[in-house]
Amino acid sequence: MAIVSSKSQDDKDILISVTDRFDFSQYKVFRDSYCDCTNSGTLFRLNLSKANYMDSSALGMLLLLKEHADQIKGKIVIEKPNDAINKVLEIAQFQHLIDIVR
Amino acid sequence: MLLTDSRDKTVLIVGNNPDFHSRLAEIIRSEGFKAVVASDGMQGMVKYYQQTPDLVLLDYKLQGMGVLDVCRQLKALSNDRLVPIIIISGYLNDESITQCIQAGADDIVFKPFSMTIFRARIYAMFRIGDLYHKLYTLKNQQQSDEELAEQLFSEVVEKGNVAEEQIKIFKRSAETFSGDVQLTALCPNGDINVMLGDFTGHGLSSAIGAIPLSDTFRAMTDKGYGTLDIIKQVNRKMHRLLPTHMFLAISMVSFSIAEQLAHIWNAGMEDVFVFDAKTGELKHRIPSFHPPLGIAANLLNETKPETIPLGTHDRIIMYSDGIVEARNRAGEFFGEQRLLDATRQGFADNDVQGHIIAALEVFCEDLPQDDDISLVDINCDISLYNEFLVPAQVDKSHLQDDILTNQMLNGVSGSDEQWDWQFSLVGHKLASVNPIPLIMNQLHEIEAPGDHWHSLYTVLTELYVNALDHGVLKLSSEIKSSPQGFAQYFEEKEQRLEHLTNSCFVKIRLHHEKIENGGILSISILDSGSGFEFSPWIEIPDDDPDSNMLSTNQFSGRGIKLVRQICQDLVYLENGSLVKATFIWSN
Repeated sequence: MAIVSSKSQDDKDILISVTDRFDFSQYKVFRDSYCDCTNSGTLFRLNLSKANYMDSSALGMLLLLKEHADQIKGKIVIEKPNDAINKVLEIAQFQHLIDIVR
Repeated sequence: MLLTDSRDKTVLIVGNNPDFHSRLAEIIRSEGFKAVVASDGMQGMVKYYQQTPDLVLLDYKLQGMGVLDVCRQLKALSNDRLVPIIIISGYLNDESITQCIQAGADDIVFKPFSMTIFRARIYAMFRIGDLYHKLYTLKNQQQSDEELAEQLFSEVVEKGNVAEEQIKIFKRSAETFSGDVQLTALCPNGDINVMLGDFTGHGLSSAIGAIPLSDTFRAMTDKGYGTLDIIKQVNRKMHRLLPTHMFLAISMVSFSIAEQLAHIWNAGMEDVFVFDAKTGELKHRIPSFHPPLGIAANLLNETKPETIPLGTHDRIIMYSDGIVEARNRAGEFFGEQRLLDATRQGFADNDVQGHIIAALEVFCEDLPQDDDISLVDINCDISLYNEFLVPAQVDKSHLQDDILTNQMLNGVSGSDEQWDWQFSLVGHKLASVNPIPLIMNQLHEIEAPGDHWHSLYTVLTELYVNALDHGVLKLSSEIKSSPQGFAQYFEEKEQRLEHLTNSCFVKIRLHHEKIENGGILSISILDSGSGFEFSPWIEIPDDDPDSNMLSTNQFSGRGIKLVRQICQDLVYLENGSLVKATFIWSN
């Protein structure tokens, strides 16, 4: 599976891990990984340590996740993007929109 | 639509055996179809051509031309239609069946067969033929719709581009529609705005924002708005228009020909490069400093375009990620280094585009293109842009008419023939608002738009900038004596704008009187400063040989000289903190 998500026991922390390519082909799986989480204040941790490619439609998917998180007063953290993906995030200046932890 | 309309269907029967003919034809006719009979392959082909049947029944035991050949030929004749072929035969082994299918047969019916099954198979074949036809028609229609839309679209988006010789634009779309948009437009003062936008994704859905983008860009450039104002407005529009997951990455260059510098904005695009084309040196790179547009309702605070002074050999290169992210068979990216190398080789041969395209093609071989590719190459040699500069010499002779002068002195009777308009900017508003486009808007509203306003735009801009820079901000134009000085001047200005107090102001007053076929506009601009040294520019008459000295210092003083040439009258009062100018226009 390219995208795996798991919940913490208190349902307040969702870990989404992306493997290999993060692009439009993952749209549905990615959306399914978070859209059921409607607990107020949920922290969405997007782990990209195993992802090796990300395109601009994936940036769009991040914006959808952010929209969802904002609606439920949640928060997103992008964790461990590799150099190539970090470059994409940097060009898009996404650090202004979402916390990124290298 | 019904899948099968029996009245329109024609079935061609090809076989040597008359019994075979008549039996099949009977069945076909009893179903309400038209039957056409041919006794060998050659005749079959002729009738096929004449009658354009919807189905062919082919006897496996054909004499003369063999059944496989006939099958192949008929398929070749069918062009874009699917005309199913059913071969009718006695027992066939696996190999023969395979050969029939490879030759183009769509089905094989073995003798003896039940009438019910034979009928069912014919209907099944018609159904496939109809589906194919429907799909083919839809696909064609879609293709031609898309091509037409693309044509209209390009026409709307790109037809207004200017300076195509000096600013080379290359684009290659991955699909009919491109998500990349390249725009150039001329500012009222002769500067040129260049924009490269990249919408998320590619194809039709990513092109929807292109028309509002180009409309906004062109209308605002035309009214003289600055880079930041244009970017703000585009962001607002895109935020309203685009769905959450879509956005617009954008780089924009405002190339000031008069000041020989560029204001460069980069929101989510690859780095903008400034090269010295002569040495190949990469002098500046302006990386993205803002998220793409359309994501948030407002821009980030404290972001503004970077200002880069330019030399005669400088070239500004903007490109979309489709170039660096193009991949070869091994899955490697084309990357920035290959782009830089190709660009430098391009300078040597004076063909940047050609070198980059060639390098891309060698790298990607014949692999399909994944994303739209765009490249913009701006030649910064200002001598190439003379045609766009506001004419320095305006013919005023026709305005020196006695009647005009009298009208100007005595005024025109009737209050509906004149109007007044005032505008004041105080304190930090001076840093954030450019009043000139607002004034031009007012003028267009009251007196209708027209080309004659272009030179007024220059007048107002020059007078206002002088009032702000030299009056309010007390900047000395001597700093501007070199291209480097210009950037320094600009920086200093930015700093001083941050420390404006409420005692700082600029007041602009316009008084307009109608005359036949035009009007007289009296402009007064008063600032809170203590005046500035205007005399070197204002007191030298046009024909004074010493005025040539001015041209040796092209970086300052040009403005006032230009205003003096355009306006009927120009006086500085109160040591220079009050300026009055008279602009006479006619249709």
